[in-house]
Amino acid sequence: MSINILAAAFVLAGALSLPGRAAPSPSPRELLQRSLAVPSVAYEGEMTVSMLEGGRSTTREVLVRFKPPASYRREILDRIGFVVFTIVSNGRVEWVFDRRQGVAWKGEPADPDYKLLDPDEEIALLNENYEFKAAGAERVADRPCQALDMFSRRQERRLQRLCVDAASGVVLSRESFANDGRRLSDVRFLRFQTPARMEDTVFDFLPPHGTRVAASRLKPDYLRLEEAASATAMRPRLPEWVPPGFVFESVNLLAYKGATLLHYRYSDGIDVLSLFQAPAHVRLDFGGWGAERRVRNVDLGNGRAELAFHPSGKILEWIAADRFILIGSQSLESMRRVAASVSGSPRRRGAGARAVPAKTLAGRGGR
Amino acid sequence: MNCPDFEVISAYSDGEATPEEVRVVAAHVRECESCFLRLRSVESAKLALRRVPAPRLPRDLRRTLLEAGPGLGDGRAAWRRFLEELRAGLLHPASVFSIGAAVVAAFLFWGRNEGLLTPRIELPADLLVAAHNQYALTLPLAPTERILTEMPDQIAASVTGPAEGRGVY
Repeated sequence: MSINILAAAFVLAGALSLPGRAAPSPSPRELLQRSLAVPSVAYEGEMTVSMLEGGRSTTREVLVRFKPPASYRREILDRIGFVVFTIVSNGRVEWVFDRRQGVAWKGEPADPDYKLLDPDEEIALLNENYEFKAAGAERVADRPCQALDMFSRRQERRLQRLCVDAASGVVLSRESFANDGRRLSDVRFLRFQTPARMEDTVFDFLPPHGTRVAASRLKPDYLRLEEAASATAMRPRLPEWVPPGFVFESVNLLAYKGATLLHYRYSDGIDVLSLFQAPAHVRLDFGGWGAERRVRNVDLGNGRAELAFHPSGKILEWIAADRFILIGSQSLESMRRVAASVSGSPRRRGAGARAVPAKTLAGRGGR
Repeated sequence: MNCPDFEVISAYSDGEATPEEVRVVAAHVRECESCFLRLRSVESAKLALRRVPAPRLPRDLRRTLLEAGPGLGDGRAAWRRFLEELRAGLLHPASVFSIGAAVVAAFLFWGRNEGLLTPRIELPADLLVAAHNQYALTLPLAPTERILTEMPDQIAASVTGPAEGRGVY
């Protein structure tokens, strides 16, 4: 009898103590840190990348492999499951292989280590502009994950929902939302696993016989303004106004058919605003976009600009002695204001105003 | 690099710059291709104008003026005569040529500034989008999969016939 009572008491005590022993839900900060860190385990899987635009949806399937610290392989499939594009990097060299054209481009992978903004400053910038809230548990690719909603502090609206794999910290799904709450994109794993072993050879690429190999122009620089200015005959002209929360990070030099373009990069920790300055004789070619280009004129106050839409953002192009191209996903009014504030616009030419980044790292008390 | 104002370059070309401006411009144009071209453009325009022969007074106008002497009759008649002679003068080949030369010189200078005279370079918008996206990949929480899925299309679209040795590469 006493044994039964003891057993019942033990079971009861165990039951009562269960909530206390269950792993507490991670805080938004923990989830964010988990998703920001480079995964410590290799993973592979299959995912869908869906873009929802103007009532239409385009979905691509991608085979994904990753091995820390920075090796990745992406194979983009066509509708019947053949690989059409392969992107492979072993952390030092990146290959983009277009199977249909039989062309492989060899370049350098994007590497945040060379950026002028250091990782702590970047995270601080992200937290300054965005707020994260835990949104409960979900299952993606048959794995438990913790949802995290990302809100803009200025616009007070939800921008993204991430679901972070509880075990590895990998983002298993990511949805992005428009101003009115519509879903703009949905990227999610259908299958996900963390194999115990993954060979390094997976991340090597040997162009198939007959492939034309070319060097990629995308070799990013992270230059200070003075360094970039000395590399071109153009006088760098930056906007005097950028959207709140954005800071000037660095300049990239882009060479094309004998012309050198300056690429000024601004970031708010999540979003990017790119301003390109090119000699006036460089014209923008929208190529195969055809009717989807949807260009319209925009009044800058001191001139006119052309606006075009691209799945990656809006493109605003104008000429003010040099040619300028602004790419970003900000509101049209913000982009118009950035363009109108570029120093040395026709009305103010000769005023002697010197370009100064609207908000620099130094302005934030950074380096 | 601080480029001198156009007025300073023009003054330099005219020999009217101050010694300090001469020193600055002479040193600057050796380093700055844009200002060198601008100076060359100013000098070519001036040279072109200098080569235009000075318009000569039409013979009949000259005769009329000499015959009229100091008293050219009443003001209205003189004004009418002046307009007629001016019209005749403007239609003179030398006048037509000099006006044409001035227009061409102005166009050359303006066109150079606006990039209309340099061979046009067609820059694929996709290349710029790819550069924009490549930077986006370096951000924390970058939508890596979406960007990497779009990027090959952008790189491919920005290539115009690599087999012919043209295009991005």
